Amino acid sequence: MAEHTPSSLDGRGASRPRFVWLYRLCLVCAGAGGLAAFAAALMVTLSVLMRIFGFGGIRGDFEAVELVCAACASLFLPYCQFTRGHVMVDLFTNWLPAAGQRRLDGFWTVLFGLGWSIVCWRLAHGLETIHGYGDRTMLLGFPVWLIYVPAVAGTGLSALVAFITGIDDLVNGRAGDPVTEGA
Amino acid sequence: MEPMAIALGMIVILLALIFLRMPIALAMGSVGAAGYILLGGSSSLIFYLDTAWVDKFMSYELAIVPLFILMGHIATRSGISAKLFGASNAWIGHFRGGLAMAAVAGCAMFGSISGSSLATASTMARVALPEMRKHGYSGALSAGSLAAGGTLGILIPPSVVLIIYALLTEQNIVKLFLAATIPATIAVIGFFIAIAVFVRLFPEQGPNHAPIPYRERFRAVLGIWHIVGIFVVVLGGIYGGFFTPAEGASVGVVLTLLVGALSGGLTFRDLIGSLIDTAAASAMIFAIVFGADIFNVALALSRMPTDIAAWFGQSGLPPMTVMLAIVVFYLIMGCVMDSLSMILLTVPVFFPTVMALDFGLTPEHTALWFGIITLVVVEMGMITPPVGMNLFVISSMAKHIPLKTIFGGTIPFILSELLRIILLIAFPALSFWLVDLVTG
Repeated sequence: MAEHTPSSLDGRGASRPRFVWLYRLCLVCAGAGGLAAFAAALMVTLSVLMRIFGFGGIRGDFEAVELVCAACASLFLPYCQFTRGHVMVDLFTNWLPAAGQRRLDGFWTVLFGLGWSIVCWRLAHGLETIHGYGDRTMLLGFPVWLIYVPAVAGTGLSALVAFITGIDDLVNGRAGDPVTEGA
Repeated sequence: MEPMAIALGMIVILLALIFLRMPIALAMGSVGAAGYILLGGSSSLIFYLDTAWVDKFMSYELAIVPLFILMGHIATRSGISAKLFGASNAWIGHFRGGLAMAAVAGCAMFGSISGSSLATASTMARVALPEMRKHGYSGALSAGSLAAGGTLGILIPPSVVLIIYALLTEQNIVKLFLAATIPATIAVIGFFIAIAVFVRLFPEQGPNHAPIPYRERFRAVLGIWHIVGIFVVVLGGIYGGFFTPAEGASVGVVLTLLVGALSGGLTFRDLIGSLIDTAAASAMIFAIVFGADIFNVALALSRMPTDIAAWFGQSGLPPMTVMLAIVVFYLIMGCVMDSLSMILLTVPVFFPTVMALDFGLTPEHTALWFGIITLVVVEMGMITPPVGMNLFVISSMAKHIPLKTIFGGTIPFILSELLRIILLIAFPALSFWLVDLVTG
């Protein structure tokens, strides 16, 4: 199933003392997204309660949930990139030596960085365009371009994370298994 | 180049890259982008990428995913699983194989507040494995029952896989949740029977022990009333039309947090930890959803899904043969692929095909039926070796049980699952009868 064991991957990221600032940045992003989701849950619950007790729901709660979802998706990304949370199939490459697997992973991770860079570049362009339109959401009047800001930041930071960790894997993959070194 | 040839090339290259360890989201996104450029030109891809990310995720429906994941993670950290296992153990634990059945029952209850299979398997294993070991249960039976029980996490609503299926096929999420109820019940009964037969054949693997007094049994049940309450409020509210799935998930987050904080000793640290866990699990799903979106838009440009559907519609092949072929394909792919990626990749092609065939059902019934079959089949992929994620989770938690023993332990459950799939295919009404009853 598309999920992974809670917390089990944290250790892998944390065991790289060199990138601790990057890790913390990703963690802050993920926490901010998580708090936004949690705040949305509180607000929607309040809205439901108000509706049940006849006060009418909170105006625009529907829109707020949509905005939070977009922000979450963007802010969650870098942490997932850092902790190698993206699913892959390792069954057919398990015969490779550990260093080879690591180098291959590093190569894909660098490509991942390239992919996120392109998405980030286009989103930055999208931000500009939407900003030019000056669109606002229907009920809350929230400027739509603002939701492009976390999107650009999240994909940009993911690109950075992917480049740094990917190159690290490529380099250290040659030298041996850095996981055992670090531990 | 022929659009059809490009589409086929995309699929072949995609599979090759996935098997070469490329992260699935990246593989789908990059192959999709390449196909998009060949079929629609690079300027239209660039135009699409300007807004695609935000358009995709500024979605009320997709917001259900992180909310239900958050609810499940809070539940995981709040010690709810120990209470659930305790209550079912109190009633059936003393029978032969009873602890394994209690683990399955605990998983089923946990699954009703969690949409995740791995979380269900791991959280229940933490409490049930030591108990089973203490009472002399074999590694095969303990691991097998927990791995199989874990699949109830995605089968019993809320289910992340069903939410994604609903979005891909534009079906009603509430109806799909309802549709999964009877198949999930059959799964629980099937697992119970599998355990009962297994301990009859190998009595030493799951010995019985002294029952506990009734007074304590009732106390254990009273200890879980608030957990049952969450389930009743959240799913009851959704089914009863009192609130939308996103509202239900939000209420569920708050209720689970309250229950955890008041009774389970959930701390502020645990809450922050749940938020971070939610970030990791959701980002992985969102990345795949985005990659699959690029891939599927490109595939749609080639018209391959509609062409294939039309071809099957006119081919005169018996619809059931096609359905069986799809199921066999899923079972084989499920052995090596991750379930969400599989759904995102195949449903856009298979769904129109199935809808073009005449099973003698209404379109809505066909959609519900196919959704449930897809869910059940990919869910079975979680426990089929060599790549069954649940097996690895159990294995990582039970170092004393060799992986080979765990694989062996799943055999009775895989057999029970196969029987259930045959049942669900043979009697489509099992997947929509309840939906019709509730929604009229």
